[in-house]
Amino acid sequence: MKRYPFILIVFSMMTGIMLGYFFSSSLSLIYLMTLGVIFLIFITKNPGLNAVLLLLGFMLIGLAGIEAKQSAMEGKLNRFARFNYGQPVEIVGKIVSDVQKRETTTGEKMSFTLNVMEGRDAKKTRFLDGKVLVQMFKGRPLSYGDIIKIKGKMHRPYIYDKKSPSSYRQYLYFRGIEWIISVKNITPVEIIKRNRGNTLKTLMIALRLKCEEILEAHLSENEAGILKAILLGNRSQLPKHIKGLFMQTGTTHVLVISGLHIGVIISLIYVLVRIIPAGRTFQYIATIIILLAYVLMAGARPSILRATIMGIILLGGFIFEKKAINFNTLACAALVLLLINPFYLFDVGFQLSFTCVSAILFVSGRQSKRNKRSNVFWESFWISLGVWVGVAGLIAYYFLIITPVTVLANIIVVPMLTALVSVGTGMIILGSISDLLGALFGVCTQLLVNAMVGIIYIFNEIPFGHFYLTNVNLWHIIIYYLILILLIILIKTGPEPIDKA
Amino acid sequence: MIIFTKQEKCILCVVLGVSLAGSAIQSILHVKPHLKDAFRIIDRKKSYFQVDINTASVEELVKVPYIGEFTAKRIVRYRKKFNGFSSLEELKKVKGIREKNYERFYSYLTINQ
Repeated sequence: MKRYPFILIVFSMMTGIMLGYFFSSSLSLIYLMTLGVIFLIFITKNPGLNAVLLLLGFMLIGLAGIEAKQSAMEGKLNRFARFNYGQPVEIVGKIVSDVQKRETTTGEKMSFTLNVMEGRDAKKTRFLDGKVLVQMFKGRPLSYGDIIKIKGKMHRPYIYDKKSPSSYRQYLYFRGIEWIISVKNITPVEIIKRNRGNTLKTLMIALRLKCEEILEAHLSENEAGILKAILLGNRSQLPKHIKGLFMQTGTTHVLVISGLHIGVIISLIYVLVRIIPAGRTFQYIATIIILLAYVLMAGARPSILRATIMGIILLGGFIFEKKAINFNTLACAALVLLLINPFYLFDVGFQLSFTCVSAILFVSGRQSKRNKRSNVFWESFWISLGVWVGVAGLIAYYFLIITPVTVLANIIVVPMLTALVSVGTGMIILGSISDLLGALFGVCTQLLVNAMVGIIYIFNEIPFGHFYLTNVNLWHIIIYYLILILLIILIKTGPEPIDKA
Repeated sequence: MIIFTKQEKCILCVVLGVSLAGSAIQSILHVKPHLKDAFRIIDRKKSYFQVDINTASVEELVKVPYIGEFTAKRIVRYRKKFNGFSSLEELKKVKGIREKNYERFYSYLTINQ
């Protein structure tokens, strides 16, 4: 508790979230209990009891958070949608997300999140509150911040794969969306007002579109699709055959902005910021501000947020001259994310991201104790192996696949990704200034991205590199992680590694 | 004379190095255009997962991007009726498959003789 206080706090909060998710309880009762706990914390003088009460308080916060989220979703919009299920309705609302376009079997589809303000069915108009996902197959160009009136049918998100424990319906539910409106007919979309969104977000979306244009100008459609996912967080145009290759080699993390990407981005920003003739503290603060702007542009997904929070803590550590990255920092990042949205606990990205970083911290901690001048290859190998063992259970459960080839693939792919992110970012920055420089950087980016996919392709061809599983249930995973925790305890309580340095 | 800091020199060197490498690759590709195909692994048909349209089941066909359940069923129905496909182009004769759709998914399909 003394060394890593946030770990216990996060586990308490997670317990509260799980209790709230699986059992329903009264929100007012939880608030009352929380007040009681706060009162007891103030009057108790015993430090041990105080700590226990604090953990109980965080458990109640988790419980209250999830209950509040669930009850908010059971509002007017939900009743309106249930009453008009499959019926044509007219909806007025504000676009609160980026408008994504993707190719489907029936043509181009636009999808975006709409914050509903008003709904009209066959009888009357009602004031509503809540979010829906709009899928539009024909329509006018729309953008973030537009207030629009649409006519369509409301339905629940589809469950494409009934065997999979995570579904699209669940994914949207965890983001506060329970209903989809499909606008298929030729009824025109009425734009009531333009650009009513947050100015900073509008600016960042415009910047992202500009960056996407530069990528499209210098790369092929498929290459640009990959770079958009790696650099800008837009996965809607990721080529499907490439997705499959990365999945089977266990390197999908390359295509999602996460710690590695954010680490490279922080380094690049810092290198550029250091040109400014100002003190170190100013340079670190400027790096944090630019990083936050980048996150706003790339979208606030759990893995990006986790990496950003840890990055900010790391930079903060530099300002205050303290070593900042450890399990406590990781737990602090988890706490912030769970306070933002308690449903993140059930998000596959959240679980993978935190398990992966925990494994890296554990293995690198052991490695640094064992040998301070260790070989880079072996260090990378042990970290890669540790991460694979750490996330294998979750990947097997959610994606029904085991990929031993990941251990070797990551050793080569991770350094390549570092180079690709650096050169790709350079291409975007220089491409906005000069077409020639953009084209020259573009050729190098093409070489790197193709080489990376080529290597992934070779790894995918290795026999027994991946196995598909047919039946994995929650109990298998619980047993797997219990064995893993037991092993970690055994390693921890065993003899300390000898320092060969 | 302009004096650069160490940081600025480092950035300029990287920009110059990458630009030089880019222009060298561009020149090589200009002299030997056939290398372009070897270079572009992502766009090569070999990197697409392949489904044989003469043997694939509906479930396998649905895994191909842009082929939905209805289209997959129609492909299987056509295959049964005409004893298989003789070429990928023949897919355009299947009801509901137009040139535009065909262009989207033909890279994933193959016919093993």
